[in-house]
Amino acid sequence: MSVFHRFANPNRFLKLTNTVLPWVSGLTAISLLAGLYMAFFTSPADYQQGESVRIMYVHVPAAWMAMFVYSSIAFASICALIWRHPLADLAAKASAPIGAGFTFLALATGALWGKPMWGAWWVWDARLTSVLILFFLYLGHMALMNAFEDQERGNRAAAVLAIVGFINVPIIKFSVDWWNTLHQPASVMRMDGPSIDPSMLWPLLVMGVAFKLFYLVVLLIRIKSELIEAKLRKYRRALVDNA
Amino acid sequence: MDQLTTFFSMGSYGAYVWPAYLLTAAVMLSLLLTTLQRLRRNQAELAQLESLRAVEDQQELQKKAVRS
Repeated sequence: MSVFHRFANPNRFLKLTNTVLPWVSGLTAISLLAGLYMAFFTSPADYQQGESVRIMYVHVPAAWMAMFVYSSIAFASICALIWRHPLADLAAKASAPIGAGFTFLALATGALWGKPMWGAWWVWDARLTSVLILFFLYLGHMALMNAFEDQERGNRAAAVLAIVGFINVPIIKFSVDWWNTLHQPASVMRMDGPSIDPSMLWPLLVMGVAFKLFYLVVLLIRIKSELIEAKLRKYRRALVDNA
Repeated sequence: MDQLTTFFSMGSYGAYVWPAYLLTAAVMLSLLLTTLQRLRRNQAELAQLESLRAVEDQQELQKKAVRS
C-alpha cells in the first residue's frame, strides 16, 4: 500500500505527471503510427473476409479499452470507498468519458464490420447487447457523478454503480462461449494462447498498446485538470468569504 | 495511380473500412482536444485568480505598513 499512498499527495502526483506526460505522449504517437502502418501495409487480407478484416485493428482494441477502462473505474471506486484515496474519485470521473468513447467506437466499428460480413448492422445477441449495456453503464456513471449538489454524494453513488456494474465485464468476455452468436470467439486472450496468425496478431497488439497509452495520456491530463478545478473552487470560496 | 485506387477501394470494402477508421480518429481526437481545451481554460483562470490574490496580499501589506 505504501507506493499506492505515495501518490495520494496531489502535488507529488502533479510533479510526476508533468515529467511522465511528454514521454507517454511521444510513445503514443509512435505506437499509433507503427500500428496503422502494420494494419494497412504489412498485414495480409483475410482468406475469408478479404480487406474488411482491417476493421479489426480498431474494433478489437476499442473493445479491449471499453472493458479495461471500466475495470479501472471499478478498481478506483473500490479504492475510493474503502481507503478514501483522494485521487481515486478523480481517476474514476476522468476515465468515464474516455471509456464511453471507446465503447461507442467498439459498437460503431462493429456495425461497420457486421454489415458486410453478417449482412446486418446489429443483432440482439449476448455479446452486442452486453456491450450496449456497458455503454449505458458509462453514461449512468457520468450522470450520477454530477447528479448531486454535494459532489461527495455523487462520487459515492457513482462508485457503487461502477462496482455493481462490474458483473457485466465477465459477461461480455464469456458471452461468446455461453450463448450462440454470430460474433467470433476469443482468438487472442485464450487459455491455450492466441489462435490468430502472427501477421495479424502483431498489428493488433501494437494498436492495443497505442490505445492504452492514449488512455493514459488523456487520463493524466484530465486528472490534472480536475486538481486545478478543486483549487479554483477553494480560491473562489476564499474570495467570497473575504468580500 | 492504379495502386492508390486499389488501396482506397479496400477490395470493395472501402465503404466500411474507411468510415471505421475515420470515426475512430474523430472520437479519439475530440476526446483529446476537449480535454486539452478544459486544461487550458482552468490554467488561465487559476493564473488570473492567483495574480488577483497577489495584488490583495500586497495591498494588505501596504495597509499594515502605513498603520505602523
